[in-house]
Amino acid sequence: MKKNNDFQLKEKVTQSHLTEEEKVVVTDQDFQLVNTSDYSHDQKFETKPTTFLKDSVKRFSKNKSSVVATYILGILLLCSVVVPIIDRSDVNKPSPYQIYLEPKLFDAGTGFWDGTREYTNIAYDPVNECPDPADFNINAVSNLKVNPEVSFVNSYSKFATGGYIKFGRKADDINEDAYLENIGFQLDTSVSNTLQIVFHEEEMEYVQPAPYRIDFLYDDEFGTEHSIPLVEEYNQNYTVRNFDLSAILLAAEPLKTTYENSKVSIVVDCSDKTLDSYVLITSIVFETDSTDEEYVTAVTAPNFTDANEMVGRSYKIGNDIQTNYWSSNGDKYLYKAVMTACSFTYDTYAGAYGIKEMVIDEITMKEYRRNGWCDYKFNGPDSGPSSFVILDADKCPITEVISQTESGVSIVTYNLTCKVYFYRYQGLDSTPRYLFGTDKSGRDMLKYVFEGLRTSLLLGIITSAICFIFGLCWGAISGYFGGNVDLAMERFTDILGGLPWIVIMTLSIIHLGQSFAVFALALCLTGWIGTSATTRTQFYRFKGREYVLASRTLGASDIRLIFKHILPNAMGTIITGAVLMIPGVIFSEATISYLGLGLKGMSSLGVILSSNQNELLSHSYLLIFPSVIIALLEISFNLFGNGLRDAINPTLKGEDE
Amino acid sequence: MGKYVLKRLALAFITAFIILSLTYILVAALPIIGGGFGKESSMFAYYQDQVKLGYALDFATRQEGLGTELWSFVDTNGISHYWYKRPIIDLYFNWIKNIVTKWDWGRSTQIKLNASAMSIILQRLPVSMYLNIISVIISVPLGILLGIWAGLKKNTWIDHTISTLVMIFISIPSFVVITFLIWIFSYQLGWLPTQWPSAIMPNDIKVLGYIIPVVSLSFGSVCGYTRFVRAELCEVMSSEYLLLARTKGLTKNQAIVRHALRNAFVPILPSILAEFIGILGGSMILESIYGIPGIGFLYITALNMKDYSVLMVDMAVFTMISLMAGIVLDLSYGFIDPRIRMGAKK
Repeated sequence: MKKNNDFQLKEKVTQSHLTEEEKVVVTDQDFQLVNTSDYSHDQKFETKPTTFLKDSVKRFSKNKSSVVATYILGILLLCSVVVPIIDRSDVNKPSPYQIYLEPKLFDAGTGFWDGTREYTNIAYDPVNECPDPADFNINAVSNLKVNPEVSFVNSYSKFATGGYIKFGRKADDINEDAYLENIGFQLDTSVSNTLQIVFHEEEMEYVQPAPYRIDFLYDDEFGTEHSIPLVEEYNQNYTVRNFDLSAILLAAEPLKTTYENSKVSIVVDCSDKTLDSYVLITSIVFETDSTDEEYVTAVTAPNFTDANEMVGRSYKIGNDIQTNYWSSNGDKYLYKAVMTACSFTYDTYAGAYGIKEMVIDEITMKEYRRNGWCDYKFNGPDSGPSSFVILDADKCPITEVISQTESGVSIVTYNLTCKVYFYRYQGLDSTPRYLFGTDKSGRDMLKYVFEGLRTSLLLGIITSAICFIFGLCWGAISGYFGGNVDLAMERFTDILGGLPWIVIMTLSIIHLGQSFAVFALALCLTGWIGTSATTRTQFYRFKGREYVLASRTLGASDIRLIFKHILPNAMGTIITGAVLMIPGVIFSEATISYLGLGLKGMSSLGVILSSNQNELLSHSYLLIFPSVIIALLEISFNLFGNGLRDAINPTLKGEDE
Repeated sequence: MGKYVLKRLALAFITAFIILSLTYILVAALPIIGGGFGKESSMFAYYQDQVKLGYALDFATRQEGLGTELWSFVDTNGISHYWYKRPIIDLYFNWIKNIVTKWDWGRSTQIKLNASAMSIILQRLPVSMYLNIISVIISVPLGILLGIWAGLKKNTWIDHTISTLVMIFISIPSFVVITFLIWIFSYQLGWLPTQWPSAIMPNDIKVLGYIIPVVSLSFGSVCGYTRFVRAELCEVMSSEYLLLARTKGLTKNQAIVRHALRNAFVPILPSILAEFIGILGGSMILESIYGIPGIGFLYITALNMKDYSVLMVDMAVFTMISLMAGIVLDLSYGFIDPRIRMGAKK
């Protein structure tokens, strides 16, 4: 602006309250020109000009929580790319020797994140004075404490006694009742045969008592099964049941004396499958007064008065070893067997990779000898375990040879029972350290989780990109043209949007399968509606503005108006919407995977959580690490998105906080 | 207004009709698992029923060109039956006819053979409803109170703590929250049951069994309400009429209760009303993790067992819930604040 006549009052003159006589006469000489030059110019900005983008970044960086969230997000993204490359462990191949290793960051003994695990209520082996050596590596046990009180165990243990059989409920095929029956034997009714079944009554309060009936089953000469009821109706009388089998069978079929493949079958009513109902059986005893020893053995073989002993009992038919005498098509558990329990700290890494007793073959030993790690003589004078000498203590896997066995006739091969460092045996320099532990098939969870994160992120980004492009076009057309086009398009989105997303996901999955592409497609089917709604609103907002009208008057085409004039103004809001869609997609995928309908053949965070969800009690770290990662991802994505929205569109600030 | 309500209801009805039709056709196009899923006598009854309802065809001999045979059976009179699926378009019209004339939504095959799918849903509905009612009763006042507290103490540490917690809990997926709740309170501390107590459990365990489901259902809505109420209240608190109220001589509390809260509740009440519709729908995730026999768990069970009639009715229930919630939300705006005219012309 030009300012030619800038005047400044030399002295303050106020006329209003002066009287007539005191009036001061002001002449031109009382004023002085401040600027006598012809023009005065605007001064140049001293600050640097800023762009919209720079301004947004500045606003964004003021929002501390969003900046932190962005860093976390960046680290997660980086990890999802880098960790699966750096971590060389193979997650596709099962490694059975390293299952369920606890997460380990610090050395064992520090008490936190150190790969140790507290065991309580474990069966105690009083002979070796340790927990069962078959399950635990004794060298890795520390802080062993024996529980002085009597403990109960609900699964078979060599060191337990007593208990009862809890049996009932057929889960997979609901329309059939569950039965418990012994392996068949030949019953002879010419001698007395009795059967006693004792139910356990006291514990019934926590278990729904199941109605039961008892049948006697046998085969006729053609192999067809027949049944004679011992207790006919389903009933809930749990007193001791005594049967005189011979008398009952003779009364039922007076002409028959031998019953082939005879079985006693306890049948539990499973018609109401919503109830978990059970019967508890303490003992079943067959008795006979026959003098034929073979017959007595066959008849009394299924007897049990000690349920724990029965469950652990094994017998042989031909070459097959059967686990016990009673088979069932329902749930059959041992319940409340009595044992001495102990508690201890177990270093899972020492257990899996420390010194172990194992059998080593001749070839391996010869290889060690060739490497110069140790010396050993298989035959000749001074051979055997005593000839073992360690030459390189830092590398030799074997610490001690316990015994040597020979096999083969013409070519003799030797097997050695030795104590070995298992990690050296596996060809490793030191015991591995798994930050997130390993799962039931020995997978390294660190790599597995970050691979899953990568899949989840990829799915989220791809889906959001597709939804963004499609929703943008749809919303732009609908919003720009308006009228009947808008009405028709809106009704379509109404119908599609009315479908719950879970229904769409389910239908796509059962029709098309559980691949990555199907997931992306299913999530896209409804995902674009949000973007399209935002775009439409933005277009309605901007399409009536004067600059659009001006451009239209100058003859701009619809395409030009949409892409050059309206869209750039609406972009900020739409982009933030698209960014906030990514965590939504990841969330949906994780949810549907958690429900058991997840991706097949790929790991995503939801799939990992879903496959480990039953291990919450036993190995909670398998759920904690992926849960923390997914929570961190969602929180930081949302914070980042909110920060971005505030930065790009400051007028919306604080709307959703 | 009345006209608008009617129009909305009619539109919702049409939308629901189209959605359900599409869903039915998509479900009906799935390969039906034929063969044995129960005792022969009940299977026989099932297929005879299917023929009567118009979903299957019964032939005395094996047929060619009718697709895969569903099942074959020789009945007690020695007559052979071969069942085939009708064409999808027939299935669809018979399905509509059965619903309109008999309110028959089909028969369950896997979950409870020959039971009507609707009866199975109705049997499961109460559990989901009780849980949701309790969680709404708890979460609405709690959310509003926290929101008011945060809104009134804006930019103090109270506000920051509440807002941060809300931000965190709204971001964490619900199954993570439920998993951790179960892990801490059921497994580590042993205070609460590890899963939904069955009907025969003693009453005190049953009551304890409600805690984890109600808490995890409430988490999301408490956070939602807190955030919503705080945002509304902050906006109202900076408005001019509140300043006027203070200059008139009202105390701060009077001004807040009489002016600020009343106006802040205008957009909040409709969402509360809409939430009450949501009472009917169970939370699928929660119900399947905690083993609650509600309709959310039923959906997953029906899907895994491939019991498509039950799945269809369950989908219908969820669709209707989301549509009705949308309508109630829109309509209640108009009732609560007469200035808002939904659907009005310019």
